[in-house]
Amino acid sequence: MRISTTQLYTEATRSMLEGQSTLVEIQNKIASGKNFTSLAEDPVGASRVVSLKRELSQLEMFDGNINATRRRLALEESAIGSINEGLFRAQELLIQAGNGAFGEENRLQISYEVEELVGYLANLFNTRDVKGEYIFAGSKGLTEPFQLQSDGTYSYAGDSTNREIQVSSSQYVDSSDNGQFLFQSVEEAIGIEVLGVPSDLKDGVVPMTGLTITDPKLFSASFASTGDLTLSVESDGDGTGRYTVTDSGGNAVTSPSSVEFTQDPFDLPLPGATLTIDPHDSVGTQTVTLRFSKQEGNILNTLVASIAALRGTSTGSYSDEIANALNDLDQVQSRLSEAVTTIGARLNILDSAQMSNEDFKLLTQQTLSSIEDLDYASASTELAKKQLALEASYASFAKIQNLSLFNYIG
Amino acid sequence: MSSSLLSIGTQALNANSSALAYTGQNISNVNTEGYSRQRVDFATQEPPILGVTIQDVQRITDQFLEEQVRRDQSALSSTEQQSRKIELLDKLMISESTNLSAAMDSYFAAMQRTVDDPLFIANRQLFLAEANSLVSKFQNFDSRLEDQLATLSGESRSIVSSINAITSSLANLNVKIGSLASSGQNYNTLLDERAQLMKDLARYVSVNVVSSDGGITQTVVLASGEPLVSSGTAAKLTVADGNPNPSQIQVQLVRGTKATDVTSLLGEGELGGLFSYRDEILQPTRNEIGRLAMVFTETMNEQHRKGVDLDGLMGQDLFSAVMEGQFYAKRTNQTLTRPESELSYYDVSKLTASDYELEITGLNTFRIKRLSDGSIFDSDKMDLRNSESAVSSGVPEQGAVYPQASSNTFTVSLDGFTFKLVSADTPQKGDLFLLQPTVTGARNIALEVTNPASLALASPLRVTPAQTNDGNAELELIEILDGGIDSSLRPGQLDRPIEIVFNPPINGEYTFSVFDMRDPANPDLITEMENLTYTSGEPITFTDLNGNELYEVTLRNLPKAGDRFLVEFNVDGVSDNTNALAMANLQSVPAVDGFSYQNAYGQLLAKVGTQANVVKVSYMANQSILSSSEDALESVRGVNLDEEAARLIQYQQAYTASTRLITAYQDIFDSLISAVR
Repeated sequence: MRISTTQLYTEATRSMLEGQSTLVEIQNKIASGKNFTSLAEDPVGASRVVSLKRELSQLEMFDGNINATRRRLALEESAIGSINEGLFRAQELLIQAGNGAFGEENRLQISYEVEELVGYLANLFNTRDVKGEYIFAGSKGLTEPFQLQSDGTYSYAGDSTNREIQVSSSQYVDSSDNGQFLFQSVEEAIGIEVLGVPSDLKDGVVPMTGLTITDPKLFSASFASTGDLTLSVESDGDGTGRYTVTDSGGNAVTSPSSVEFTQDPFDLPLPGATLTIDPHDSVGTQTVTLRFSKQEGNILNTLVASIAALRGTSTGSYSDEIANALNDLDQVQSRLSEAVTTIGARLNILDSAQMSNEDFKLLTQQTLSSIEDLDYASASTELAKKQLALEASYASFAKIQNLSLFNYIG
Repeated sequence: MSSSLLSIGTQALNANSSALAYTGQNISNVNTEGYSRQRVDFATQEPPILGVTIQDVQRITDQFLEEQVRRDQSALSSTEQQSRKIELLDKLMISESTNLSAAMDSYFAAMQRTVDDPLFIANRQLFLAEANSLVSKFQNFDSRLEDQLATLSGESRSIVSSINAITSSLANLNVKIGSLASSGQNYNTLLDERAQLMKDLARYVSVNVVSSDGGITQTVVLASGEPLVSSGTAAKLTVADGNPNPSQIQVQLVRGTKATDVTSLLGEGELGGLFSYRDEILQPTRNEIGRLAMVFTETMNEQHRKGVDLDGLMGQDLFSAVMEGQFYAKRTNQTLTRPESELSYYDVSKLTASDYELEITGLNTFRIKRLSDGSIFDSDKMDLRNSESAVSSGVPEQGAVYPQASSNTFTVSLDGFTFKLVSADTPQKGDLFLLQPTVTGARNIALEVTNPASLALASPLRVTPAQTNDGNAELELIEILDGGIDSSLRPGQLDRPIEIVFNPPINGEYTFSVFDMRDPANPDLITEMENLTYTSGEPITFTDLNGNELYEVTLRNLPKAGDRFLVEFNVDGVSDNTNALAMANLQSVPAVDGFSYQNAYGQLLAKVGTQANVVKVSYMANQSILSSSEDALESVRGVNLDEEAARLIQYQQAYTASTRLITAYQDIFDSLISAVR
């Protein structure tokens, strides 16, 4: 094939330029340590890198969540620890006070210390974290959960919501416990709430005049199996009539379903209790709902009541009040130990979640590196190869560039 | 009279000295670009005259190879342009500082901080800062793409003026060559010049060359047959505003007073490459990013509106609501379109990242073409609806149309957008509109909330289990269904607080009834929610007083009879993080056409990357194709110094021999004269 003179030079130049540019490319790769610096070099790899980086970022987020939750739970644990100490001291005092040999003087002394303890415990119940959030208030973080009322008792102003934190792609952990669950666990008086009393029928109202509970356990158990009861009273106006009690499924609770009553007021027998109903001489049928109710109480109020007993200002019997208080202390302590166990369990979950997140992170980083990072061994071999090629093109150009017929003629 | 030795010798001398001259021409032009070597053709004189003459000075080249080189040059220039342009886009998408996926990672990381601690103002401020940063990254991305568009426009203008300069030179050359040819002079250099200009032209635009008159006149045509240069006249190319979208510039061929749009006929070459890049890569990318921004805005806003902020108020829009889309009317029907016409959205999640063309095909009939895949939607195949509010019941795939009272207005919903056209007069057949629903998405995204306390991270509703509950039932999830501006939760209250009360089981199945708790002492049974069957883990839907579905409560595990759950407005519940969790979970929801936000971005990345890869590979391939065709051409027409050196010797010897003829003649003459004396 015929070659023109310019072709000789163009060809040689072209191959030298190409050699130089490949060399520079490899050099750039080695300097940056990355396999590719643009999408064009590896489009699929680039998009995988983006999604791997996102996974890494998510794992880091979870790590942050885990650490934040751990701090919160640690704070909670230490507060509960101090609370337990206080409750224990209260227990000691009240056991002493139960000693019949103690006189009024001693009881008064004990009452002062119990009063101090109540203040101390209330403070702990209202613990705030460094940012000023009440940790035991449920989701009402800016509301003081246990608020002192004018009569010396405390009422719970928080709610029963716990905060959930995401610690891995499918795992959520409660990062708080609310005051309702921890401290409002004291059982108070159980009773019946009457609902659905029409407000315009003043005289024809069917109120309770007395609820006598003979067997509390049976009473609450029966409501647990029947739910709300509907009481329907049909009175004939002369003190007689009949009543029907149905459960929320519509089934009659009494047998026969409609029971006659002959006096006004009359006694309604319930499992474990007796309820006195007063139909008030009205004619017609009236329906109300009987709902099982349990008064909410917290341990602070129990202790306040025991102070009144110690000072001789309470209405009930002294030994009853003290026994009641000791019982409540027991309940709260067992609830708190339940809580501490769940905190421990949650801390364990956090630890294992953190470890598995670490594993995922390592795996992801390895995959990322295998796509993104340069293999130095093969790159330096490429470099040596291209260098050799360039040098060869220089040498060959030198050899052929001075060959010309004009050197030999004339 | 026969030719004398003198005349033969003189002829030989002339011929050989010409030959030497042309050899010298070749040698001296060895490095001239585009030079075709010239070869002298000797021929014997016509008998009875003896001697030699130069018949012709041939220009050695191959017109087929020339054509090949032009074609390959066009292909190379086109891919070179595209490669250069796509590199910028490449860097934009992958660089850590402009990469939108990395920006979203930071945004969601800041959101998780608020999930941990929604009350802490610093966390909220940090989140707002990250949201702002994400917004600027979107806007920055779009403005860089817009810059590219502007640069492209400037570049195309300068290319067009270069083309015009070349075509007018070509026209002049045609005339000059014609006049030289008719006067019998050597016009080989002019032919070289013309061939070189053709090659330069091929760099800018694909051309075909048609020779006539034995190669004297050459007509240059575009790929479609439109003539650029014919004989002594050159047509002009101009860059004009696009129609209907003025910023989509087009190239026009002007002949006399007529201007034709030739943008799609440019073939390859730099100009064609620029427009390919713009239409196939730049514009679709802009649309995709716009759609991502819109879907992100809508989904975040929807969830944010379902939450409650630190002041107990329902959440407002977190980002500025998605504005109206862009549309253009073709210039001929532009004046008829009233400003009340608008392009809005009924369901952002159904948007495709495509542009649409709407063409009126008759009275009250039209056709919409989806430009990404060419699908056509005819108005007579669309669902006929009575009013635009029917859009909430869903729009079928082929679209829905809503005729209005007058024939000058119609509304059509398709693929997530609604276009309402209001005309001053009845739309004529042939009227055309360009609809661009997603292109402005990234440009218009903005952060609406500036006060950290206004971040709605808590749930508006609270579910409280009663103290007396004995069973294991607990709350699994509470989900707000209606957080819109008309939602009854907006005033910051629940219009009907309710209580779920469980009944004794019948055959092992639990049922529950729902009571209206507006008067807590008088629970009022809601008749349509009496004795419903309970299934653990199944959501229970609740409506507001007007019957609109408002929220869903999901309980799990088994209750006992009498267990109660009260649902009321979450007053003071500022530590709750339920809505923040829901917003954080949006990161993995497949909101954009079946992909999560960052997966959609990754898809776009892969698409652009593949295109970039293909262009790069073509570019390298075209480079070697062009060099091999140039080599082939050069080997035919290029000067080889060794060859010329040999020729030099050859003609020199012939010249010396010719001088001998004259000397011989002189000797003969002298002998003759001396013999006669």
